[in-house]
Amino acid sequence: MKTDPLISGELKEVDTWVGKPIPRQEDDRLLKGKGRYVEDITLPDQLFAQFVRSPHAHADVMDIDFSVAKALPGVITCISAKDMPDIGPITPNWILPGTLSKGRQVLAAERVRYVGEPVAMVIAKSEEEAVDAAAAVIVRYKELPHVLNQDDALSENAILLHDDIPENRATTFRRGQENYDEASAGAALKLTFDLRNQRLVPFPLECRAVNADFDAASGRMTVYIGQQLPHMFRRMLSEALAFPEHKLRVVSPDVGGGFGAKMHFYSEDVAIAYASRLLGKPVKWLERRRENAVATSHGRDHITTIDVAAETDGKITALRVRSRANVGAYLSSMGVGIPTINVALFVLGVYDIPNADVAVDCVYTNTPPVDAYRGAGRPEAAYIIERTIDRVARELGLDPAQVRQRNFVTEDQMPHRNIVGGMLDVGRYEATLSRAMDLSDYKGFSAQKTEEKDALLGIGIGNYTETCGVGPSEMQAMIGFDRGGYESALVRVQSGGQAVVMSGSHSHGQGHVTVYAQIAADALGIDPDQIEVIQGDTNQVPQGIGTFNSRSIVVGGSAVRVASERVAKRMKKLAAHLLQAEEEDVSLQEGVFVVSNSNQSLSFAEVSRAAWTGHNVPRDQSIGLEETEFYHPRAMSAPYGAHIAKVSVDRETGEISLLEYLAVDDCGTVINPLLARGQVHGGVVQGIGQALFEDGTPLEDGSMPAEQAIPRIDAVPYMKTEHTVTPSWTNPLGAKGIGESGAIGAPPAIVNATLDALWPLGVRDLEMPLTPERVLAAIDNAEKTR
Amino acid sequence: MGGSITSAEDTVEISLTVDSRPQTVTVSPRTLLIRALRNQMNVTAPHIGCESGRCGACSVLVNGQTVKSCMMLAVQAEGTEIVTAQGMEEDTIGQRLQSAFKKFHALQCGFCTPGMLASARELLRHNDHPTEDDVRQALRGNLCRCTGYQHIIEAVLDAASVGRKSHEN
Ligand code: FES
Ligand code: FES
Repeated sequence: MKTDPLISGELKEVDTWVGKPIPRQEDDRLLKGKGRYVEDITLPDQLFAQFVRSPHAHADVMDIDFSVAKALPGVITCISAKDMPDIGPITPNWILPGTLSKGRQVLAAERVRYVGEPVAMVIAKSEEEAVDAAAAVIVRYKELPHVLNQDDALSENAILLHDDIPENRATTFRRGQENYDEASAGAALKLTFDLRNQRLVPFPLECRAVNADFDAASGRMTVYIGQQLPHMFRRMLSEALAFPEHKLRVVSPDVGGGFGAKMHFYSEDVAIAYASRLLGKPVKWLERRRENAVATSHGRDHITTIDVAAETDGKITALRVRSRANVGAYLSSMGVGIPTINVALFVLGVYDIPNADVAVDCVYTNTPPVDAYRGAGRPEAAYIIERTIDRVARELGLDPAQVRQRNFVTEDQMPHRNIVGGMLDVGRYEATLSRAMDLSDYKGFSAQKTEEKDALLGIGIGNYTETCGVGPSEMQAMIGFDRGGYESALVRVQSGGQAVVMSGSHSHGQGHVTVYAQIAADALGIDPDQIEVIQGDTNQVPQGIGTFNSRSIVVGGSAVRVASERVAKRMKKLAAHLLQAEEEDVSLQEGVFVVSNSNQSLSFAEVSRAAWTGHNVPRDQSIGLEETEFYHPRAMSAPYGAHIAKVSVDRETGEISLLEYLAVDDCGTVINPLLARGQVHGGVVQGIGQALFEDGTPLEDGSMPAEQAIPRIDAVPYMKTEHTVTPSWTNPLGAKGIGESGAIGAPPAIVNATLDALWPLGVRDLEMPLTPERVLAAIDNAEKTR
Repeated sequence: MGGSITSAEDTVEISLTVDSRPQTVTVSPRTLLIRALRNQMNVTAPHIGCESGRCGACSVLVNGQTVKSCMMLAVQAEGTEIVTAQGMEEDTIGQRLQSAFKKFHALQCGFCTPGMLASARELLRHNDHPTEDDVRQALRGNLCRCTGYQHIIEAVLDAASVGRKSHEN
């Protein structure tokens, strides 16, 4: 296998730590099998919990009989909703104004509304005993009719999920002007079509796990949980249990992947902590894979009807988007925010479309709740606009690349706020797309396609954008998002001359430790291996927000940068004092503070030590070398990219071969090209999973398919990656976020490529995942109707 | 109702070697090897990702062969020699793989990594010149949700080539 150089395209060799493709500090431990995940933490007197879950999509809970279970060996107690009358349903974290909100029940009281909803909890001395006892709990249900699909749930005679929520509608969100009819009148091309962004199961390889340890003597509780937002979780748990927050410690150790799913606040989290407080013992729950498919929030599930009008040259003049989003039976943490704000504000993509009208209905159904999953709304938006632009091009007989170029927001329009409220800070869309077209030999491939007509070759573009680095907090308040929009960093240079960096964001695999050390190293003037990064412990780290929305570098990294710079400044000032020199004459050179025109010097470590002894620190300077920054952005940045997929379709089997995948991303400043590439690869393969294999749509009875078709190593193509570099002005690093890029860009690129291959056969639409059966059926149908 | 509750009579004592350390533990006949390793022998390198043979996170080497330890009963491991990622530092192929994984950023969350290393090590022991396709075939049973696999393939190929170079010298 060829390995493409990491420094290529617009990336340059640099002599700073930021920009270097260094390997990760966190790897040694993990490679030696010394990772420490929640499952690895077992405490003295450890108890284990198991949940009893509803087998029905919709039913009344008539009776719960614990008598058999309680008599089994090892069983400590069994708990149902009746036993915890003081615990209400979970309050979602993002409730748009005007939403009719129903949060998850901790344990279902009278009615269950999806298969897998927890009904009771059993605590035993061992995991096996808990499993046995849970199986012995007898629950009597009265089944009710159920509805799984959002369009069915909105239909006139649909059953209601919640008696007090008419039409099963949590909210309807509108953006833009309601002027499609006028704006599209007289257009050369008018099209109406539907798209479906199917439900997905996030599937981190480590399922969820919680171990809550309440100590009755001190009144303190420590909760070990794989959580992307340790501080937010602390607040949410404290509020849910009315537990004093200052006595609550949340530790998120190594996290085995999350992709959004491990930032939500779940029923089990509350129940486990409740049980530990009740029993005064540590209680641990390990979600199992089958359980994960129902207990952990899903992603996407977004159906859209699109109207689009365009001129003969492909210029889009008007767009109308009508989406129905399935939010599941209850609102998960960000349940209504994702399909509304995160879709509606992005449906214009990187294009300048003068008229747009967007509305999204959020609909309750008898399915597991849907929430943020890698990309969180932006994959839906990118899919809508990128499929639309391709469709327009093909109907007009134009090259999809050209139609994109015709519609791009141009550099001189930046920063650009579009008519649906989306904000683009910087972008050179033309430059990035042409780089991608060159690298993938777009023109040459088109020629090859014409030559090898029978091969059914296709090439497709996904030109995505999103915005990253959520804040600012005031904006979040306006949209009902009950989190801060800042991030914390504490930077301390210790006596020995090494530094500690703490961050409120938290890695679930990305490599925060390495990149934060790179950022701090540049500011402090020491090597990254002299820097220890600490995350995931609320008793050590200053209050932070956490990792999601590709915000860890943009906001968290900026906090590290600002705090490190302040420490460096103070250090230099102290060095000047100790050297009895003017500050401007002092500089740090290879670990030594030197004075120009003098042979006076002090090592980095000597100054560090002096700062902490305090023996000779002027009274107008503070003791020590420690700074805390709550970095609070004023605006978000909009990374973007041009992804190109090449496919061939087997006419006989309907199988799609991904011949090549190219990603040219623009995430502004790249802190570590090696890790950035890893993020792109991982995201792209999740996008490939969505495009070709995965489907989290429940079966007719509301249960989940036994297995999820997660891409395997032999199912992914060679991925070529590159960057254009357009730094953002919204943060001191010039960064824009990369974690979600691949998951957003890949589905439209692959589906567009497949439609490119099949368009000549008359295929006009395909629904994800593009399974061989669907592809064959589409070809057969097209041939029949021709 | 679930499986029966284990009573003291039907437990079995097994002895085996794990990462060069002799271990003797008492297990029930239904105890899976992965659970005995993790819960009774404190060997936490292999992970539980599915407990149904689909993800490979639990893979270890049993007498040199990759085994999904959730698909084997602990009693079946009597007398075997087991190597996990924890013990792989002790052999050169294992070391080469570990350093190549680091160099090529072949792990993110690290949850799949011990299993990946086990499968890759078995491959390199039998094939010192694997092709890209050999790597894909050998690691087919190991899911990774984070890396997209490309860096893993590069790392395994690199470890093989480092091994070949060291033989030439
Ligand atoms: S845990 Fe054994 S294969 Fe997944
Ligand atoms: S590194 Fe996370 S599953 Fe492979």
